[in-house]
Amino acid sequence: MTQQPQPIGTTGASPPVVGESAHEPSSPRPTGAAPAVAGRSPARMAWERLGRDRVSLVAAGISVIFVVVAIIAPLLTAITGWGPITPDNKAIDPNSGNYPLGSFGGVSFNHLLGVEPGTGYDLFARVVYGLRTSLVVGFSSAVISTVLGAVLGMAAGYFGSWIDSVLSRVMDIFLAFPQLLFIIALTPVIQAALQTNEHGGTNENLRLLVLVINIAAFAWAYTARLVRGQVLSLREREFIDAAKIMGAGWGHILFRQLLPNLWAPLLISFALAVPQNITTEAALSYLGVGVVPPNPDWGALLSDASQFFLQDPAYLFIPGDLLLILVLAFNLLGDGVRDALDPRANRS
Amino acid sequence: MMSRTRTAAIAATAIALVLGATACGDSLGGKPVKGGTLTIVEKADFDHLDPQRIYTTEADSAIELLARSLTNWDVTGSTPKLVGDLATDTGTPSDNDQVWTFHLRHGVKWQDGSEVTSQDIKYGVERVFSPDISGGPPYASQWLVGGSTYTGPYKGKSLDSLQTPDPYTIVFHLNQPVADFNETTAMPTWAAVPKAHDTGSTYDTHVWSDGPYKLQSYTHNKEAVLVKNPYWNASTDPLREQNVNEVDIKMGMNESAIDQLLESDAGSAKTSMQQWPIAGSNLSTVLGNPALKHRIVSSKAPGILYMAINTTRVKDIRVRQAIEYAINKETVRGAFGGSGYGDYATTMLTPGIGGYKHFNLYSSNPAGDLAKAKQLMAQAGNPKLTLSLSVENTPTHEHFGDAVKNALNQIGITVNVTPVDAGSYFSTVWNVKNQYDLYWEDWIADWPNASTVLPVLFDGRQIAKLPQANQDASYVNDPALEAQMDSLSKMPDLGARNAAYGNLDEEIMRKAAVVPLMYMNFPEMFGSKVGGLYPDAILGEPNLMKVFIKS
Repeated sequence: MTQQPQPIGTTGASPPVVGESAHEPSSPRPTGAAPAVAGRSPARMAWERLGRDRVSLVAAGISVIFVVVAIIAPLLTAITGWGPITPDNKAIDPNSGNYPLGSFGGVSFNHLLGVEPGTGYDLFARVVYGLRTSLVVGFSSAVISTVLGAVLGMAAGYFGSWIDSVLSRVMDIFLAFPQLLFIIALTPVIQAALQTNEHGGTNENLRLLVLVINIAAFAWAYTARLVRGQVLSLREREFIDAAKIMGAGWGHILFRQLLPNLWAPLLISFALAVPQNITTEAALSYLGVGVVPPNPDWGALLSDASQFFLQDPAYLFIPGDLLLILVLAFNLLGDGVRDALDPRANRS
Repeated sequence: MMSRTRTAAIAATAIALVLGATACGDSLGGKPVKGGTLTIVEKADFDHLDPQRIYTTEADSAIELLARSLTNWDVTGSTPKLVGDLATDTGTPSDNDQVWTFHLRHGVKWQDGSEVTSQDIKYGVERVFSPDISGGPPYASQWLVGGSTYTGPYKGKSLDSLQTPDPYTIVFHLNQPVADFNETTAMPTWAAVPKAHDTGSTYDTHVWSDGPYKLQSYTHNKEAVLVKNPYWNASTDPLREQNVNEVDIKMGMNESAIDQLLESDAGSAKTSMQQWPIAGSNLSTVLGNPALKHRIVSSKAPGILYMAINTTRVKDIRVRQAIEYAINKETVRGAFGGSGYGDYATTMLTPGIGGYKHFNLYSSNPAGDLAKAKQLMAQAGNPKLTLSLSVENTPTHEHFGDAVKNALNQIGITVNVTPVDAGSYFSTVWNVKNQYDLYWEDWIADWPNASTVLPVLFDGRQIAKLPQANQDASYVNDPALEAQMDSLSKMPDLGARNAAYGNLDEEIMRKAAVVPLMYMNFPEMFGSKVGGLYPDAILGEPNLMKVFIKS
């Protein structure tokens, strides 16, 4: 962090003016009796740094486009006329292996990205609905893991002694645990438990929830370690001593003193967790233990596309490239956020 | 036999099969050569390798290397010929085909050097009756006198209708005349099992061999390794050869990956072959590729792929009829690979089976007749149903599930596609404890006779008798139908019997208990160094008995 942590008053006073750090690329200081300079909060400065970073801006723009597309997916499919599970039997050739008619996997005005071989689903619809799944799972598991990591990291860092030992070992276990293997092994058990009726259905939302929890359950440890490290240094500061002397309990110290000073690493952690979780979710669906077909999902699309790779390579490249761009955009955005909040790090 | 998990039929009614007996590709490959390792790449594990429990084609083909049965089929000629395997000939019927006597070859050795005796065959067949040894065909329990009350040899009891007057003679007493009993005995059910090496329900992985190869190791869902049986002797076995040194059966590879491996014919793929069908995503490109033509062997066995409707769960016949009309066989066949997979089916008997009669009770358009289907649903009160469909957990079957789901969606039926592990598909869905509403099924006649199709698939008495291996997936249980089946099997005149079976097929189709989808072709790829693969019109798989690896 570049600025000095400031105590936040219990009376909820307005944020104090922040002095500049010695490493801040200096903007011209007013001299003499010039009018008062508008102070800029650390957040404001970070925002401006982000604004100067071209790459991050582009990445942010692309990320926003993806999010917007995912949100308006039902509208988009209503416009194109093809939903994600409505097959177009006329677009595939049943005398072959239900291969798409036409080139590039059946790209046409009717089907903007072509159709899926084997089934005849409109690929555009599958892609935008799959995007929803990816983003929902990615964001919600990132939120859960960040919150969980923050709380447990703070507890470990602040309380020390046996609490820290126990929590740190727990973090180590979760970090060492083979996540994919565990989820693959656990899924059939969960599947059987979630079976809703004797006609074979599973509760889709429940399954998504299980997936989110699974991913978050392994991701929190990274955030927690990060937070713990920060808290270990922060708890030695004078403002914490001041708060203790004033009679603050640990709840107040954790959530009203420490937490607000951790927003930067938490934000960075969250921003980088999202693409990580999207990738994990796609990998799980690829292996068949994520979202259940025929619900569209990018990982499942890639898995199916590898079956038809020689016959219809477009079916692999289109979702594959989109997944690449999505994860790259979020990653670059996360990097940009980290650079903006911590410009000392790794600048050459 | 089921397709790959097909149930095999026996006997050749010949005619149509003659066409199939010629190799499409160059699978015979010239003069046999000794040595090398054959790799069989499988999509999944065998449901069972225990000879008395085998009812799938891959296992039936593999077991030929390990366990000899009483009689067997010589498929090296233009038509399959029934010959003696452990027996010296095809047996001697007497007492109006109700008593069958077989004399056994001398000097057939187990993998430990001891001799195979008639007692071993008796013990093997007796195992069929034990509830632990479930899964195989029903003929032994149906036809042997005393079979309905016998519960197997594990409690010390033996079946008297199986007589072994001396170590080289075995006599079967049947409860009805069976003229083609010696075709039944070509199935692995009638293989010998030595009592000292029987491990009961785990015999799948401990099969004791009297064939040219023995099991060195077998890890479920992973690999089975077969090595030479040093005590096998060609002089006692006119059917088989012992050419390759080892057979590696690798299980669990993705079906498309198998096809791509064999297509590439690179490295180890040269000495590999497949037993499961070519994936739906690849079939039409494989069949359409002229460069692959000489590496495809096609066995013309009479098989049918169909969807069974559980009549105890989908009780309204109008709904079942609506399903018949609504199914789009075009997209279904496309999911399995397209026109190369086989012709559209409208009957349960395949052309080529004695008794086949052409008829079509439902939509004449293979794409289905939605208008008629909706009409029927309206008559049934437009119920909004949710039905489970069991399929194998492979991409081809997922697409099949989608095709069914989308077709039935249009008439207000929601289908939940439920994947089942392919390596235990039939053990799972044939168990009456696991009930689904719709089933993917396929069937190859045990021998090309209607008696191995219709009674096996529609005789409801097996539901109670064989609860772990009930092939009547539509749970049809009609005493009138069963009485008809019984009387048909006793008809002496073959022509009249076949005509009657044709009519029976039509009568069963009226119940709308099954939706016949496609008759099946069985193309399989093999590597350029594999030779000696005879297309087997009984098994629907390339026959392994004379396989060799070219140098």
